[in-house]
Amino acid sequence: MKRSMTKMMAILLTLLMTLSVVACAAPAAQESAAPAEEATAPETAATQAPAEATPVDYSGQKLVIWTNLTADAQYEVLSKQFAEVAKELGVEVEVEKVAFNEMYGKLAAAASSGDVPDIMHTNFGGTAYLYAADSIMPLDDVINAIGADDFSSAYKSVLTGKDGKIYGLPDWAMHTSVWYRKDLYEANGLSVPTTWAELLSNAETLNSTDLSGFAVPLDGVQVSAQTLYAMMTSAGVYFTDPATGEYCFDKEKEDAIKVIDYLVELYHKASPAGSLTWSWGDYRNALAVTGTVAMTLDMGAVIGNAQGNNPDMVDKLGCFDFPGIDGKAKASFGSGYCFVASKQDDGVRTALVADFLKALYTPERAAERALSRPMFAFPSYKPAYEIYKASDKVADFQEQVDFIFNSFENGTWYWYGMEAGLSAMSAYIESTNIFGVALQGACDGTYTSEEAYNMINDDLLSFAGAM
Amino acid sequence: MTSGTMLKRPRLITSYERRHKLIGLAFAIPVMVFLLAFVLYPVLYNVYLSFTNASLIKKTSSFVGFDNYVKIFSNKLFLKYFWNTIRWTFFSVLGQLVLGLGIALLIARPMKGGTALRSFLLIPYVVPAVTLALVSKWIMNSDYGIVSYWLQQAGLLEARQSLLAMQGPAMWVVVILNVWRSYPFPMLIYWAALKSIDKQIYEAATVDGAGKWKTFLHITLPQLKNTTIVLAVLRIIWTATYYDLIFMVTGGGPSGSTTHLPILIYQASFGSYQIGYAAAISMILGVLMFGCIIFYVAKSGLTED
Amino acid sequence: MKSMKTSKITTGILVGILIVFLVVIVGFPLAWMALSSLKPGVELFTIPPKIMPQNWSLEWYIQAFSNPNVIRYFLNSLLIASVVMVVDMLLGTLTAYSLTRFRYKGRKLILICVLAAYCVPPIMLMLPLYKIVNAFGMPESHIGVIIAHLTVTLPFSVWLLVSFFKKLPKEINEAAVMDGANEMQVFLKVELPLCVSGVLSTGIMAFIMSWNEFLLSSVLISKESMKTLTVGLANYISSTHIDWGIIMALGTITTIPVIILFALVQKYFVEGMTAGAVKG
Repeated sequence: MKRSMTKMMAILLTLLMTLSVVACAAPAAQESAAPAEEATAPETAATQAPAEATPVDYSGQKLVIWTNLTADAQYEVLSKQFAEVAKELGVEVEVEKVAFNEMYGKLAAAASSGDVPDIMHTNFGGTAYLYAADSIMPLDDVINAIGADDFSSAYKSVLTGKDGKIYGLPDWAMHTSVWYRKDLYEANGLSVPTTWAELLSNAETLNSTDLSGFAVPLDGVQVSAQTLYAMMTSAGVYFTDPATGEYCFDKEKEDAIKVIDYLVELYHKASPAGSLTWSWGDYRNALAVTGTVAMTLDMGAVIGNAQGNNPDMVDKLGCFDFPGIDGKAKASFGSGYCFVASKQDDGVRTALVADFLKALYTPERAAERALSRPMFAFPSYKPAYEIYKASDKVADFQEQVDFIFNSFENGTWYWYGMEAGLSAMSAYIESTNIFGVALQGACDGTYTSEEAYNMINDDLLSFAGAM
Repeated sequence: MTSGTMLKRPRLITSYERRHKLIGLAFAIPVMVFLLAFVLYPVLYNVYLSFTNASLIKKTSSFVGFDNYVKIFSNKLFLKYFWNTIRWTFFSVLGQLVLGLGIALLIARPMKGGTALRSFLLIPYVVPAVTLALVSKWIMNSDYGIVSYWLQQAGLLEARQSLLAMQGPAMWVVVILNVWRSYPFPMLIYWAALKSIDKQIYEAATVDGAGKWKTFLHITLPQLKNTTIVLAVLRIIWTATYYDLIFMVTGGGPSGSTTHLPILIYQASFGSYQIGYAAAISMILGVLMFGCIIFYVAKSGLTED
Repeated sequence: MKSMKTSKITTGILVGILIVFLVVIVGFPLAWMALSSLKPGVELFTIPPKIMPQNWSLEWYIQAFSNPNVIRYFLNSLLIASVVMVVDMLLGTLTAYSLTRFRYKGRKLILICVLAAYCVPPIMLMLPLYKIVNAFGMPESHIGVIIAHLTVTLPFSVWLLVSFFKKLPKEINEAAVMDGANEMQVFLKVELPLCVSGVLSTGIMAFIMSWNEFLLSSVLISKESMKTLTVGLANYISSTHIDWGIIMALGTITTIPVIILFALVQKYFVEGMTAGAVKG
């Protein structure tokens, strides 16, 4: 008995010791490789190669790239392209996934220790955070080299810093619209709403025991802020003034409370009770898979959910812009992904990062990246748009794609907190949980709309004050 | 010769004792060094941070005295989150001790397949919190979650509602999940304690004509008192500082109703970047936990010989 | 006589019902997870939900394992938890041995320090540990996460082992010393064999705690190739597109190994935990 125990322990110990030796050996090997790399860097730095002269020797260089895209399809396309470009330039890349909900934690930790990746593929909020933390460099040269006119001006202005320089290289764009069940609209003889009141009455008409007219998803972080902001923009209420860039949410109290009132009313009259904690996956499934919701705000990824879990639904989905209070919306909620690059210590690496980014902008590559998104992210690099539209994946949705592209190109659209260019406020809106606390509380009766507004405003103000 | 050894002996013993003491100390040194470097240093750093306005988005910070502590107590929501922490901890620990004891009494009975049953009942202890969180999020989904569906069918829950989206029930759900995962530890300890109670006491009681309930109340429970105190302290500290489960099931919502101090600290650090303020909140949590340990040391006699 | 028999039968039935109830409560979430992972995509969202799959399918497992990272996550978790377990057993035993078998000044202070370390909330260590790990360039290896897990498990292990050692008789130890054995010999030849089950069960606890740890791992690991199963799995829910099928498959993959491992060593665990640990 005791013997078998000792034996067992001995076996276990040996096993684990072997494992730990392996564990320590692997990193040790990496560590020993690192100093050699560093040693070559200063030498090449001394030559100070100009950015234009392409055949610079980048050998031995390594780039660390982060991406927020954790879905396999997107990650695969990105890492494949990174590998191709790395091969062309003769460098090494290391790609890391940083999930969206842990992104700010990771960025904060990275920025505070100076361990920011060389390139990051991220959304506007991530860009704003890195800009505020003074971690990234302007990319005007890269954009000019690719062709400044090939990018939409609204997109470039979102990514413009206080110094007038552009800090993000636009990749693809998305646009928030109302996704709805065309078949149910037809069956009920409804037409696309043009005012808030019409939207509400349509939603109430569609309500039945198994179906809710309009999902109002309010998950704690990000989702609740996005739902609110889509309604805010339609009413012309913003966080910062589009003209001056000053914080303005405090000056729009009356209108902001009206928006919250409407959100709460829509939740009570047309949204499932449980949508209080719904996140993206939940409302997309409800619209596109289980068919228990007739409308919801989305950037188009619902189509991907339908294709994956309920292909019959694909043809039944359409989209329109969230209406304004009494007519056309003042603005809409747009979004996108871009590349940012951290400041480099020497000219060679700066040139390398620029060359790396430029190589990613062929029409084919830009289209391929946009198409890897489940649906309706269109390339912000205009030369890629035709290839994008011609692909099988989008072929069945010409109508919706053109609609969204039009809304994006010709409408007024903003990303929260960045109505007048890059601002840390945007990152803060994305990472704080105050929207969830206030709006969930407003919907379940804990707070009035005014209290909810005050909570949000006080929180944002205290952030603005601390900056 | 004889006088020589007589003289030498005391010296021998002292040098032996000194060596003995040094070796004993040496055995404890690795852990002490580790704790100094990776626990004490971070704690001191945290104390320092709590007196600054350090932020994750600014590179500089300055000393602000007790501002962060003042800010904590002037925050209206802090009391709510503090109260949440107490409810979460109290009911989680109470639940797992009661359930643990109940099951221990059950499996302490001689029965067929008792060992297999005990092994089965230990399983929740090793189930990763992330797995439990994912499964519960799904079965509680307001639309296609099977538990929500049953509750809705039984008329206990509004149509298309989820317990996790309701402020009161959400806390109960996370407490129940926590109890589900943590009862095996108390169960095992109680089971062992029950086995070690002298059978003769019970026999004497039966002779005296005491019923089962009376025996349990007057003999079993008092015998378990020390075990219970130790278990309670261990679990209180573990539970009050436990972050993973709530974070993954509700993220602290809806409307902050399941936000306890660890979630608040995380939010303050990574949600609003105020690491100085976050450090001050974690100081409060740390001091409370330290109080528990002091109570435990005084009660347990672990430091006695 | 008859009434006693019936009361015995009633108790038996009651106990039986209780047991069935417990087994269902404990088994349901796990069974649900395993069964769901075997359902094809269209069956995952049926309303009303069904427990059994109508068509069995392995598609989620094929998807999970075709992602090379899943195997990496698994190996990372195994490696980290194993190292944490070994270090905990070695250092924990040495410390507990020192604290219970030797008399020197500061002994009580050390014990109190260990207990105090146990009550430091892990979230308090999060940022400072991140800085330390980065300062030493350790994000390239698993060492940072291992250290982080040790800060959580080590104080607990020492605590468990101290109470365990206190239950062992000291006389044998003294006899061995009389026979001229030195401290290390006494430790290895006399004490250790007596407390194998205690040390092992402490190690198992450490393994489980490390395998399940999420908070510190998620903050300290940024590299895909370094992620543990819990961190990798948590990423799946956070992504904007929730794939319940693959999540359930991964959940099953994460859970089964610990259950099997635990079943294998459970005898020692139960023996160790009940041999006197945590009784004060």
